[in-house]
Amino acid sequence: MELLNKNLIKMHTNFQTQEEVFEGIASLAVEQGLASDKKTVVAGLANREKESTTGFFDGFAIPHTKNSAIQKAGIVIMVNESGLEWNSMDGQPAKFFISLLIPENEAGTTHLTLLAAVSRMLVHEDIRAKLLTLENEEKIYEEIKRFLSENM
Amino acid sequence: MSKKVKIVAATGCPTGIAHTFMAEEALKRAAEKLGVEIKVETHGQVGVQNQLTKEEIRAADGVIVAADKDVDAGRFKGKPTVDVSVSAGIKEAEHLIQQIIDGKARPYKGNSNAESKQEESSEGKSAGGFGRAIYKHLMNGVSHMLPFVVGGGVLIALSFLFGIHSANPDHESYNEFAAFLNSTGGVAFGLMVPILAAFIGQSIAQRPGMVAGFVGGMMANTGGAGFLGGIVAGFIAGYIILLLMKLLKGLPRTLDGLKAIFLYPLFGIFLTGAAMYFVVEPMTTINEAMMSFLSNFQDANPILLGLIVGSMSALDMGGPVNKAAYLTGTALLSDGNFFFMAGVSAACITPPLITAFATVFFRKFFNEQERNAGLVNFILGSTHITEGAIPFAAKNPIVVIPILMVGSSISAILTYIFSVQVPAPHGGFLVLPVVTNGVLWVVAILIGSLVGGFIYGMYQKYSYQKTK
Repeated sequence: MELLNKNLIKMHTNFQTQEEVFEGIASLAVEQGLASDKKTVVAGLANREKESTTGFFDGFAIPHTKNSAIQKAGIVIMVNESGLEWNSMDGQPAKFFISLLIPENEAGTTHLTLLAAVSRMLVHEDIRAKLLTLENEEKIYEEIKRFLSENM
Repeated sequence: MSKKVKIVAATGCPTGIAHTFMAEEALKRAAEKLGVEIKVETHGQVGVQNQLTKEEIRAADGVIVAADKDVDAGRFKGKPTVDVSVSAGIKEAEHLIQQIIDGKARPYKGNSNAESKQEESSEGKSAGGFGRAIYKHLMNGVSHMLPFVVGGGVLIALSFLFGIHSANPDHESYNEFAAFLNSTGGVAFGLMVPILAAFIGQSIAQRPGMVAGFVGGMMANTGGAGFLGGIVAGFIAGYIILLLMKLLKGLPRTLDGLKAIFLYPLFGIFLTGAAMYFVVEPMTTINEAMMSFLSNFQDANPILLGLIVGSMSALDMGGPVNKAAYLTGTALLSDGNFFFMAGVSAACITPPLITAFATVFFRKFFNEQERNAGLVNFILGSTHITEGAIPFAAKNPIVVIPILMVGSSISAILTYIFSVQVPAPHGGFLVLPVVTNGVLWVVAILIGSLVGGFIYGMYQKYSYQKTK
């Protein structure tokens, strides 16, 4: 799957604030060649967050942005050690961040359809429960790939 | 169960990347669980997918709109519809479908969308629904007003840096640029109350409410009714339009266009204006009565005088009561009494500082917009621009104003006890060089501000934890 790979997943991060999470996501995106400028990505994520929370249930959040600094559509996943206040739908602190990054001029629908499928995936509580138990990046990647291949 | 219930739904969110599809999935899963047939149209970044046909809409037993953007809901007119935000679509999908199954959804009303939403929220389906609706309207007004307060306030504060009288062409320190800053900032300040009223009205009754609210707010402003008058104007305007929507519901649909462009503005402005006339009219009387009341106390003991001046100054911040204290102060200045004004100034400087300290020490319990506004209020407070506190007070006047009054009273009482003399009617800490006992004056103001800031912060913490 071209939108996600093991290198875009990072577990056991130690972010203390929302800002740090965005910085972490943006750094990895730049490192992995998804984005050109860290600052712009952080600002994009923060602006979207300001509109309304991306926090979901059971510690999951789905920060996302469509942004000129992003060169390639992709998914960055961060699993933090501790939960952070995210104003989530169930009020729980967020620790499992699935971040969707979309280039400004994304024309093809394939990527967007795939990202939509990832969003849909999070609605399934069994997948959420499963993802929280996985112990390494490889397994998270495999689990998401499996779900998407069964549900696309 | 003779026949499966059929539902059509439309979801959409501003970015169109995540929540649109989460709501779609949540609704589909809930439908499956409840044994209902559903088709969900998504308005995402890709465009509209799974588009609903006329036939499908016609055949559906009910409609769910879970969107924070326009999803062309007009086509559902007359269908039993549940209209909610996209996050409610995700969180309460089952509940929404159950409402359709139970036949609790109301027919969609097309253009008078605002009305049905209003009815829904004021019916109190969630606990404290009416109170929440009121708060939502206030918040909408405040968040639109805030940039005017900050931008205008800082411009005025900057003009003071050229000298307190630098905007006065007759004064020796006159500076053209300072006068420009002052008058431009003044224009923004003049719009503060109308904008507050306009967007309270808009939150209640959309664009027609905005129009009537704007006019009502202008009347409150020019009539000297201050921001409390503006809040009144916004609510009067909004509910007058809702009433008009109800009254004009019987008109044929072909007149819909005429309603929006002609009937709502015409009758809305007329009725709001008439109502505001009676609100604004007694303002001069109140103002004069307060001034003569105050003049009886100008030689009272410092504690009583401070209490009265402090409470009056923080009560309506720019309204008739505040102005009475301020005008009495300036009148006494020209009689050579510099003591009285010192208390008034202290009481006017304190409210913005209270909000500033509260947002710094109780940071967690304020949202980002409030934190930033709080920082700006250090500047506005220090330069005697009381209006900086209005956005905070307007969100919850019944609680916040008494807190501001307490803080301002403490500042004023201490100022009188310390026998501070302030010979200038404006400028805040910028006039410190000419203030007698200036250090004590700052101490008095800081004590009042910190006490007020602490109470306000504790309240904010309390209400934050209560909503958790």
